Amino acid sequence: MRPGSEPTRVAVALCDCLASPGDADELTALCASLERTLPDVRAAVVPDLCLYAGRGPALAVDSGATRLVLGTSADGGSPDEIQRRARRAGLDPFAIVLVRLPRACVSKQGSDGVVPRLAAAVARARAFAGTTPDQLRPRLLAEGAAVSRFSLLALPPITYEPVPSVAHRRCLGPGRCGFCVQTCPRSALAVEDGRVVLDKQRCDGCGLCVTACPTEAVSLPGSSLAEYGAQLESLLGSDEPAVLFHCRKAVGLDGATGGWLPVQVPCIGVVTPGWMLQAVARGASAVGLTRCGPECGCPREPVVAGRLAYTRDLLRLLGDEAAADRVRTVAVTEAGLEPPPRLPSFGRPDASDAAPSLAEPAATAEALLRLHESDPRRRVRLRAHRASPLGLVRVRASACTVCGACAAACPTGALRLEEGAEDVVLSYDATACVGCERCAPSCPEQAAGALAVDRSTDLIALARGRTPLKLEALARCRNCGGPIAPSAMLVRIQALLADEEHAGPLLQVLGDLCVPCRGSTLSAGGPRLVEAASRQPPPARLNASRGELWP
Amino acid sequence: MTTAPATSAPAPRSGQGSSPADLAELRGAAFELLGALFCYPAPGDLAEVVAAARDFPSRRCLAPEFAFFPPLRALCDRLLNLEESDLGGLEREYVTLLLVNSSQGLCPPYESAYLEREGRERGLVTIAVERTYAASGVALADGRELPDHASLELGFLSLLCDEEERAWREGDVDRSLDFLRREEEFHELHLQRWFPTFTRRLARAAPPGSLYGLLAEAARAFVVHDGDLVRMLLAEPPP
Repeated sequence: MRPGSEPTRVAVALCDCLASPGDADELTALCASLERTLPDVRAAVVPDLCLYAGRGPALAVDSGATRLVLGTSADGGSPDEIQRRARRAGLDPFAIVLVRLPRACVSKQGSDGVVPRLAAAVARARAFAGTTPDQLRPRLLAEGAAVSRFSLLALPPITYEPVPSVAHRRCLGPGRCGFCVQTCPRSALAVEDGRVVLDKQRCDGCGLCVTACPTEAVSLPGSSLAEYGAQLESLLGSDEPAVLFHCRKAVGLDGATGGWLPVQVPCIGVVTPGWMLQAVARGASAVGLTRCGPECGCPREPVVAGRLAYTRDLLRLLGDEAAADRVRTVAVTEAGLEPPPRLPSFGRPDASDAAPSLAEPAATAEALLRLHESDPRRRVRLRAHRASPLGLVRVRASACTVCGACAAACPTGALRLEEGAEDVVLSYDATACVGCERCAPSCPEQAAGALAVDRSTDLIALARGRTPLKLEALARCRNCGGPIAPSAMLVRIQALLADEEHAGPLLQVLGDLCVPCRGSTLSAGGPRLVEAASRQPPPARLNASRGELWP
Repeated sequence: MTTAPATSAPAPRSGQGSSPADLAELRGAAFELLGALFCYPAPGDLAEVVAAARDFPSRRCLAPEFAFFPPLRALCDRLLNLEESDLGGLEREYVTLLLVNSSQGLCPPYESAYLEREGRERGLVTIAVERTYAASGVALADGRELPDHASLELGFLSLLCDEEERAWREGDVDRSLDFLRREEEFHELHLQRWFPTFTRRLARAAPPGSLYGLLAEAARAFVVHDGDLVRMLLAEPPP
């Protein structure tokens, strides 16, 4: 919850099957504890909630809550049936967080991990921002799906699946970005009329586009970065927690998580290095990833493996000798989940109230800088790694003309051109660079080695933040005093045209006059200049990459 | 903290009485209601619309299971609270939001304003819409509105839904699917291409809590949902 904002009321409904036989009072006490420790929460034990899922939404509506956490056993209540009941009760079904817990997990002997999981579910539910019509795809429930037997007497019931939507106001468009389109494994995102559009029928709601978007323009109800951030923040408040990210299709997870604190994601491919590093940096003793079941055929396996390797390499460079154990895949065996390793935390808990940022590349940068704080002089640099969410741009000042083409192409604003009264500055912020390499082909001085980019991670560069790469004086118009171009650019043009016959008058015009004055001079007062200029090659060919110099 | 009563009965039967015909009837009624609300709020028409709103949520037990229902219910609630004295305000709101300089205004309720080059009226888009109506045997009764007006496009889909419902009830599956295909085509070629943008603009432009703000939200939710629903029904035809 942010300071100054009223918390959204959340109802927590727990099935009575979660209490050990004879220990029903313990579950009631747990509800009281949740109400005491979490703001504006109404918690209740609901008899037979696993059988009658509709009682959960009814409890939420009765208590004036718009968000609901359902604590049921692994086989309690089908999500589709819960969704239908929620709609009938007037509650947004995607505002419900379902927590699967083992039966009889609450007893006098304790309730290991139950309270942090419920508290994190409350935080996640509270961060839910609502659903828009574009974010829903109706689906007829397949025959034999686990729904009420009454429903099968008539039209197959309709349920809804969340799909992402693109906020076009925030979207940079395919011309500058297009990461979501490239990331989608089902080609559900495409470009139409210069806009990114979604084919709902192709989308399976994996959410990869959500974490791929550098401007958070893509959102998926129930799977937003804000929701995961809130859940993670709550889980990391536990003592040296072991956090497990698991795919929604992971099989064998029956509510018992063997010491891990789980975060369910639509696809394990949404978990970026920044998520893992943020968890480690904020005190998690271990971070596990559990993939989907064998029937899924997930195309993201190599990507996940690469991200794990990258995260471990960085942790090792930062001095974590247990990195390989700390960040790992966790298999589900017949005996259940592999237990988390017993390791001391490498990072430290966050004293502030802020939820971790999970948007890349800021998430990785922020977590690395946090881990680096203990030894900031240590040089930590990881050479180009294909799984790095961060890139590193290097500019050779002697070759750069500060034309700004790279800044215009940069989708995240890592490269920026700022024009002052007297000069123009090209600056770079490594914490915002995603290594997309859009800048490199846009650079007209690429042949001279003016700009290079790769997927290296350099903590010194990250720590510097925004840094000027080159400052260049602006040449001014002799006629009106307006800006012409950076001096280095004019020098470069002069060098390029030096050997051209009759280049003199043209270069004089270029160096002396701004674009508007050049046009008026050429057309009105300077027949000799016009004559000289007309003998030159056409401007468009000469200067195609710097159209701004020409009328 | 409370313990919920153990005696609460199982949830009521869901999907009771629902069939493809019921679904078509529900959709037809919703299109009719929304289409009527995009017409100029004349006193006589408004009374009919209010009566339809009174009937809508209570009679159709199927509706609450659909995602479009909450904004539609909010709209119906607002309509039921309308009084005679509100009519003047509604007329003013309608004129300000939907009529003033309709082709260049805030939210013109015509498809051509969004899809035609320079928002030209009576252009190719208007002709294409009229031809689509004619292909289904529908002709405009009077010339009060252009064929691509929101109320007429929604009304046309209402007619198609009514025909679809009749075909389902007669057990003529092929004819029902034929009408479903016509609905899908009209959604894809016309309504989905402009209506969400129009209603988004209208929702932003309308004063908070106004009838037209609620209408914009409800119409957008319903039309977007219906486009997806029709596509789904054609992909997995009902038994």
